[in-house]
Amino acid sequence: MGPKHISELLKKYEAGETSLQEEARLRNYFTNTKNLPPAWEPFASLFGYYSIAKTEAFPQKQLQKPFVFQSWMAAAAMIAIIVTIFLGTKPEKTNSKVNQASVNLAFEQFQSNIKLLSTHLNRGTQQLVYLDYWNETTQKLIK
Amino acid sequence: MQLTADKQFLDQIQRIRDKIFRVTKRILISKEEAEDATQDVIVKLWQMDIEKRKSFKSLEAYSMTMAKNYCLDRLKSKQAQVSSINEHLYSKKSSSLQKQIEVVNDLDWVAKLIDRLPEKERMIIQLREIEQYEFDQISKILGIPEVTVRVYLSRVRKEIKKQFFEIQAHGT
Repeated sequence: MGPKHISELLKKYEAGETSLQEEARLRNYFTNTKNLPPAWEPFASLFGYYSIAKTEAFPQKQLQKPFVFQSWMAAAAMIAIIVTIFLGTKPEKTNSKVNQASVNLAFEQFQSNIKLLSTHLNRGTQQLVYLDYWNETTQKLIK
Repeated sequence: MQLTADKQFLDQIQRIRDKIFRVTKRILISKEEAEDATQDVIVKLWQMDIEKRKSFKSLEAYSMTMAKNYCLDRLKSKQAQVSSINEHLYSKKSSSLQKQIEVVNDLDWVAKLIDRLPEKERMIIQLREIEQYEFDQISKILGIPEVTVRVYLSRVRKEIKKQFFEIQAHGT
């Protein structure tokens, strides 16, 4: 395929009269021929771009792998739960003797507080008797 | 029956998807918008009645027309304008020295040059030079007579050649 043939094809090409086959021939010539005539060098980039642009693909988005629950994860979770239960309950037992005195004291204080509270509560309830009177009289009035 | 039809469609779409992406990218210029457009076009095709889908002589040509219309609508809408302006500003800001060096590459120059053309010319270049469609297919996709396609193509080819040769002559 000589340069003369190519230059004829180029003329047709610019007139929009080349077939796809002829255009493929041009693409082929300009992208594969080394030592092109200087006047034609830009065509190498033009046709080179056209062939490269055809290879661009739709970008596949990196899909995140869905979380798959494995059986070993269940076992690990069970072990973790059991360990935390043991760790959580043990210190209480060892500390109970040491704190016995303070716990007793706290309990006594709590008891006296409750007693105090209950007497005051009862004092309040005595006043509630008046509410019954109030109820009776209003019922009478409404009737 | 339905299953095989779906599978057939997926196989077809698999082949066409890259083309839709390239054409939408050429029209919208933005890669992100082209991704969205491609997804939307495929979803629309997918939701279409199977019988209707089968009735097309060429699903490829039909989806190209759809993609084209979709993009032109998008260009018309204000939303696309705003986001493309944003993207333009952003790309200007982030154009470091490294990027400028990359642009000096000849092939990037060609890409830039084409993207600066009006959208109709961009479409013609994409469909003929890159996707290599026959003139009658391009005429159907763009909805213009074959003769007009040839006239446009001739004009664009000359314009690209002229501009690119000028760039080359300036020694960039």
